[in-house]
Amino acid sequence: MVKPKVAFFGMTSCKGCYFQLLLANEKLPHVLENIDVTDFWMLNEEPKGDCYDIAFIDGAVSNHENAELVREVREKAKYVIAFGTCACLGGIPALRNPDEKKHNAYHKMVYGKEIAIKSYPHADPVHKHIHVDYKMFGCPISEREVVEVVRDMLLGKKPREPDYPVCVECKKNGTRCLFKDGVPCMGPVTNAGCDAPCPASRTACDGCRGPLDDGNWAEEAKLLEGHGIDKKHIAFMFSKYTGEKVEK
Amino acid sequence: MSHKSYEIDCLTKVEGHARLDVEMDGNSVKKAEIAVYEPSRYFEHMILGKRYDEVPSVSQRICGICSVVHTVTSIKAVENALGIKVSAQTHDLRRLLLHASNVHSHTAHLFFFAAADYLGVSDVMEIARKHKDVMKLAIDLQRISSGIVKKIGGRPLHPVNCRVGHFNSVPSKAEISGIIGEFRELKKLSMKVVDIFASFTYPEFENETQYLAVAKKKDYDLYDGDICVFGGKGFKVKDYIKSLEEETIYRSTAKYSKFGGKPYMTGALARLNISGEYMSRSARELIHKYAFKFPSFSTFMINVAQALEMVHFCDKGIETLEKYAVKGMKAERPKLKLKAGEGVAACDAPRGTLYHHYKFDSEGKCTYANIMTPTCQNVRNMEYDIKKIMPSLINGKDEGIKHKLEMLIRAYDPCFSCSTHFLELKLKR
Repeated sequence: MVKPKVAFFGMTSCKGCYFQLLLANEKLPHVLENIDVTDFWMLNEEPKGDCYDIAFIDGAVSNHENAELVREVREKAKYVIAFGTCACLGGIPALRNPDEKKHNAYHKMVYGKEIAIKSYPHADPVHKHIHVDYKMFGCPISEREVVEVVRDMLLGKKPREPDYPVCVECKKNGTRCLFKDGVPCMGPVTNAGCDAPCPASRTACDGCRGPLDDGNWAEEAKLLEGHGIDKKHIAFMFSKYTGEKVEK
Repeated sequence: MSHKSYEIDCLTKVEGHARLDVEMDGNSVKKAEIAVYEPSRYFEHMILGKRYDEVPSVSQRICGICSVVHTVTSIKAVENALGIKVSAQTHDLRRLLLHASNVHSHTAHLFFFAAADYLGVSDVMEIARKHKDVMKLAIDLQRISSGIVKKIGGRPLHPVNCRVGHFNSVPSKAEISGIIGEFRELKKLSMKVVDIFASFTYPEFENETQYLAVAKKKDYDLYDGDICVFGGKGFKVKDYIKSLEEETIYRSTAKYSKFGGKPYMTGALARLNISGEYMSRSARELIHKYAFKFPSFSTFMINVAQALEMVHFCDKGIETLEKYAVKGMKAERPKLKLKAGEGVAACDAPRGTLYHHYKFDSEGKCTYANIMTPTCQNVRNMEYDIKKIMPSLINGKDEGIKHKLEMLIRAYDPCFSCSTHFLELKLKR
């Protein structure tokens, strides 16, 4: 069998998803044996690939260089996977998007003056620039999911995206619902797939795998208000990983 | 005199994107400049207006490899601003997170980035193929250390359980004894790391500079204390802004710092130079066994210092947890009172001192944020080192020069994504 050529690229992010990948337990060497890693921006000296079977893109597109690179990757790759919430939704870098018009002012506040490297006033999900074949959500991604997605792709199978909320995983794990303890949680409106580690440590889900397509946002907002959270903070909770208001 | 300039266009095996420009006039260095061209992240803007309890969860996303120390430092700065006091148990749990994440981060740097230089292979993929035992060691270290972070912090990366004022859940007695066992296992593996890094030959190079670290009297920790300067006078954490000069550089998205108008080093070697005598007994025995000389002014020894720290912080982890082996830990949920205020905190991240500084209004909304990451502080010292090492390299081939310079910069364990990728070298000679 010819090993599929796999490449990994990094845009604007904390690079945590790649560290999560590197700690993907004992299965990592096994996965590596079955793929040909042509490019890994963090590890190789020289970019080697001119075509890829699977290209992983991590991070948000937040400047011209990022935008050029994702277009180049798209041209060379059969499948493009948006790797992590920054790549899928904009993620934490997109928190600056609502202030797009104030970009010059806050640039000055942070740097005090002009610098040579220009950034966009907004951080975009990769799909805003190129077609993306699969999205792996999570801030960070789940290391288990990486192994599963690569395995599915090796078998020529489409990986299964979970289409249910985090609550399903809490039930499966036997985790007591945080709402029962008076802790407001984003689990009911958030994509599952992480295996709900946060509620297991008695911490509310904050929505890092992004908004569920058919989430009942009105009811979630009512629940949160009922726990004394003001509307402005609810708006923040709904947009923490997308940089935009969820209108559903 | 011939004029030559070198460019390393894309530094690899570091975290983030950076370029190096070196200009020579014969044997003398005219220019050595590092430019970080990782896109601007604007965290200090994005944090503004956020509620005090959301600030750490945003600022931990500055860096994926040291998210633990960003979380802890951010929380401490919030607490200092709001006047929140926490229990000794909470302080200890945070120390444990720092100990385990230090082992985790050092493993990532030493094996995924640095080891290839010394094993004579191109990258970690080749280590995985040719040195299966080394790769297994690295993966075991990663697995166990990140497992500890997960047990205490809720997730291996971007911990969620560590909150302003308390931990949402604490390990049970059975988990505490489990984690002690894991630290013991980690220590055994870490001692092998020291053996491996003691067997490597490091380039001969010394360049004394200023060394800064968070340190406490008669202790070697990362979590609290004042800023100590090796052989000099330190300062209080809250005075960092007066003591350190931070400047915006046109060519770079990272801001660089100096101390007393000069470059300085922060990180494992600085810590060891300052507090080495307070390392754990096992770590000191290894220093003696391999006849390592500390204090050391050789940048390449950062790698050795990191390996020794791994052993030390396993011992610290065991020591901290043993206090709770019998009595266990208590669940806490203190009531917080909000007031307007300003606070600074510093912890030592694996690659050096990290500062977080915030102001909050009376509703607990952030009105000011300043964050100084270790790599930003080390960049000036990298440039200083390059100026010193270049004349000894100048007669070599370009490829060889590039490789040596990369090794030198890599030794700092730089994290250019947190300072806002790797080496592009522009060399003019």
